[in-house]
Amino acid sequence: MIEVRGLRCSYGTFEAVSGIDLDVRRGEVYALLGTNGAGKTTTLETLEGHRRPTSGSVRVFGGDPRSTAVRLRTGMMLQESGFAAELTPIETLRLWSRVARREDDDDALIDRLGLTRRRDVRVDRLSGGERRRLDLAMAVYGRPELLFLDEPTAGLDPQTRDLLWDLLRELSAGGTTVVLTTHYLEEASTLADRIAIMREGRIAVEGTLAELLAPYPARISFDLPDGPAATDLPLAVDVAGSRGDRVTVTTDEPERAMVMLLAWADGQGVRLRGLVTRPATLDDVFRAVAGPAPTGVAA
Amino acid sequence: MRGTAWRAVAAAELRIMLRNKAVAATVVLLPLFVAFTALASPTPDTVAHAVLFMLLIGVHATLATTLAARRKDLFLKRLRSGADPDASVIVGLVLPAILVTCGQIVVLVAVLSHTRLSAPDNSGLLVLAIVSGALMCTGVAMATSAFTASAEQAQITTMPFLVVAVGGSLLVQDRAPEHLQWLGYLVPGDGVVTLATGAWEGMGVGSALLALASVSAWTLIGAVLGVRLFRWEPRH
Repeated sequence: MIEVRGLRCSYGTFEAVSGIDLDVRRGEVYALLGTNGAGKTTTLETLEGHRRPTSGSVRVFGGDPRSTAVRLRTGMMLQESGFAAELTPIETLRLWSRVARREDDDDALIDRLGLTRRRDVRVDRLSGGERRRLDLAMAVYGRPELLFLDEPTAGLDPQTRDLLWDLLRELSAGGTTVVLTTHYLEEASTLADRIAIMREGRIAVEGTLAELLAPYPARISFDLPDGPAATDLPLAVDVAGSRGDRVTVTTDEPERAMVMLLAWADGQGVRLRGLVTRPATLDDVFRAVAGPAPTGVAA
Repeated sequence: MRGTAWRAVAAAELRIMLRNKAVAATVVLLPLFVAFTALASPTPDTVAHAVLFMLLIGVHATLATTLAARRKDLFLKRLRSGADPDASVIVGLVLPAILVTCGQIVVLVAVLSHTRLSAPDNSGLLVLAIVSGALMCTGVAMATSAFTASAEQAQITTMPFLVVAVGGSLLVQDRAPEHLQWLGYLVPGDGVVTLATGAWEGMGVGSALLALASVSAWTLIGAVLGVRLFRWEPRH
């Protein structure tokens, strides 16, 4: 569906994308993560055909992303939306139908995105969230085979975000391939079949969520009871650290570790207050790969 | 539904023009202002300059402003992300201003022809003046918009061409001695005035072709620069 080889993109002397290979398969949801400036948007805009690669190749549906043949099958939601302020949502969609050369049920789509009451209001009088919903309507217009979304939920209220997620799941179930960039790790964990984390213009890691999490241990933490020292614990696991009386252990076998820990506590007659077990999350992977987590909700 | 989108883009652009109060006011008031000026001294020369002036404001300034504004709003980028070829989108964007201005000129000439001035003897030359002038203004407007970050900036960036086109043409006509009148052909706009004047006063085929060549050369310069420099999104 999408095949990228040795992609490099430069702005003057600054190289935003420094040689990436990437394959997106038909029907999958592919998420590009990374901190600001990691090269996500530049990569996406090159896949969309808005930007020419400095070197390397990009094939979408086997062709040039700028070609009409590709555009006819592709929808996109840009990071910043562009509208004519003087047009209404319904006029904007009708214009879009002609420019994108796809057909859809305008009123049904407007209704689905909760814009029915704002259908005939000028775009410059819509709220930011309403504009983003109109943006989404244009991206999914006519159910394209391939959909690009650049930070689609940035700044959205939770309801609109849920609406977008539902719509994406529905499109994906219908066979649409989705490529999105996001700052929200939860979004990538929830929606994506495969995830790539970019760092300084390169793809640092790529895989399914399970594959990305595999090298990272689970964490068990609890308050160290009075009496025993951390070294008295029965676990043959690494003691990751203790903050005050809080103990955190990391383990690849959290179930076994929990059984041992609880049996030990029972035998000692102590309570393990605040006992929590947490599997590795994308947040752990992200911190390890991309440095400190970006603003957003960790998974 | 299939087929190019230029008609849909043009229809939307026309709607935007009419809904934007500043633009709508210009569209209505400018021809009235020019008409009064032309009525005050209804000679072929005045009318010819009125035609040029309306093209410069109605096509060149309007389009440079429109394209800059649509680019700044990222609307150009949006249109370009559709399936339509770039050329179709541009045709749709520029057509309304051209058609509205040409329509206004036709009305102005028609009113003058029935009141203060006879109808042009060779209306073909007038049509040639209007069409070639509109094309020239379109090409130069695309080039101008490349240097224009916003609609506000267009008030400044459109001035040089306006001044050179109108001022240059007047300067050569009024001040240059007879043997230097050919300098006018180097000035953008003079060819338009010459052709339009010729519609009433008559002119030889040679002079007409020279004037046309002058306008065409400026159209070509504008188009080449316009296409080369045209930007679909703001600079980063």
